[in-house]
Amino acid sequence: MQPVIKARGLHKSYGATKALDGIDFDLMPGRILGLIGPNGAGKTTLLKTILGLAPAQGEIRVLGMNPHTQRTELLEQVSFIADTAILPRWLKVREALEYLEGVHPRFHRDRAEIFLQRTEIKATHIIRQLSKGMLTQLHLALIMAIDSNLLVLDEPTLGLDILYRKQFYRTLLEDYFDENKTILITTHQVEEIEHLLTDVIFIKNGRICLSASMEELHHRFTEIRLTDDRSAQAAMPQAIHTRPILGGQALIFENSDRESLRTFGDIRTPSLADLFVAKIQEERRDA
Amino acid sequence: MRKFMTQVKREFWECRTSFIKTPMIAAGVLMGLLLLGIVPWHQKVAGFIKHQQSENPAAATLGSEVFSGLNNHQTITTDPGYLTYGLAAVYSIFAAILLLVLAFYFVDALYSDRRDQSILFWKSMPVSERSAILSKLATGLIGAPALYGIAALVTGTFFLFTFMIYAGAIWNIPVPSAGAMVLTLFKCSLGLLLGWCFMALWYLPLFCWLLLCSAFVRKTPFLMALGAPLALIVLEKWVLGSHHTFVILVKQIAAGIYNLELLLNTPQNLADQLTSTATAPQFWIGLAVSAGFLSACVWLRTNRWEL
Repeated sequence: MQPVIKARGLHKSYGATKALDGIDFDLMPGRILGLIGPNGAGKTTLLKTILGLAPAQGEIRVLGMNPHTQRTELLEQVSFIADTAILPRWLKVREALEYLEGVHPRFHRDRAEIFLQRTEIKATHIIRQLSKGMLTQLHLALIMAIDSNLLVLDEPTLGLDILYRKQFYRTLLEDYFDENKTILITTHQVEEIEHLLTDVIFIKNGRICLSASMEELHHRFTEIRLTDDRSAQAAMPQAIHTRPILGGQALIFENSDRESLRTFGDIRTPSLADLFVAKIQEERRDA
Repeated sequence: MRKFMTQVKREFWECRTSFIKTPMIAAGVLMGLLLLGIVPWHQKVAGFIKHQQSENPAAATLGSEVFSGLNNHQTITTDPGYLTYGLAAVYSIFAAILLLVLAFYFVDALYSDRRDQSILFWKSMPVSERSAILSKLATGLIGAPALYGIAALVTGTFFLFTFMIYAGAIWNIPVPSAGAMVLTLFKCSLGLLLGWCFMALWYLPLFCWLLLCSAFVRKTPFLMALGAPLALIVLEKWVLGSHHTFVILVKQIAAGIYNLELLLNTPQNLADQLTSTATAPQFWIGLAVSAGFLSACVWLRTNRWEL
């Protein structure tokens, strides 16, 4: 099976800053990948490279195409939402539907209309009249009505309240995603997407510091919670991260035997957010 | 083709005021002014008849001139050229408004989506930069002029018929046959169409320059659009002591207006105009420069990413 995205040795610098510093990864069809990193880690640069909006050194293939030279062709199969506020403010909802119907061979207007019927958005609304939440609903309705093979979402729920955020991801999973589609999401709100991801990449200073399927994470990382009893720790392997919790501390281990750790206390797979903090801080220590 | 037409439609949605409302308002205002203008004129002519020996000789003199002109059939029936002049004047007003609107349109066309960041949305669509830029050019050169042309035609027809009804019904002056009027309308409108084609081709390098400015600048494209040629003129004067840039620009602008006005009044001059335009090196150089400016626009839109 051909990967949807194949990246090898991607490099890009803005002056002295390395935005991408040797990125390699494959994204297979039917996966939902979360690209997670602190501000300025290179996420947006990587997305721009994938979408052919900015060139980078190295090899990048999206659906077998070169995104920079075959951008128009590629965008018939790739959709993206870059931010909530980028729909042109003067456009009417009806015109947005008509425009997509006219320029996008894979857009199904009836699907978008059915989705919009469930919202308070009217065809006669001008985009500047919509609230931020409605804007996202509209953008999602437009994008979900496209039969694309790859959907790229860059901070799609930024600035939305929790109700809209939950609804956004529920709609995405229930009404859009199937085994033929691939989704790439970047966001800071890690907790909210954790349950829907199949794969995750942590990126820091233009480098990948973790790339794994959620399945692998479960085998690779273990969290154990200890009461404030330091004696037990001496017998344990080296934790990659320790953080205080109420009445004790939580330790995260990488590649340690789960069964032997179980003797020290309750074990679990760390949450993505905790793992993110652990890996990013580990990088900092190593640096 | 459908894709391209949708992009042209998009331009009309964005510039509704400039391309749809403005010609409608201009037509309304001109027709209103015509009706308003008839009132004092009518009063003057009526005043002349009523008070031929009036105590107000100035009003009587003006009224008599107009009335005798009408009554002798000189202006209307014996010389249809007068109708053409009237129509040409109405059409020229629309052409002037259109040129102003187009200058603002082109200088903003590749800048407004960068300013409001909607460029990210447009770039998420399978539309090449080349086709996007060409659709903007087509909107300015063909789409908008078509609407302005319709508004001009409606105003011209209204102008012609109001005048005829007024002269014929109120003053019982013999008017040209409906056929002659339709012929005049047709001739003058054909002149407008041909004249615009010539004008648009002469102004193509100027329009493309505005597009290039709108694709190039980070802020205030008008500053570059006016500032760069001005700086070039001053620099040339200062360094070489000559003023070729100025002359070339004036020639290009004058050629556009000259072609429009000539064909508007006498569309039968088409063959002469074709010959004189096709043999003017400046015309061909202008087209080549336009192609260069357009390629630069496409390059800038494809390869520069500043957001």
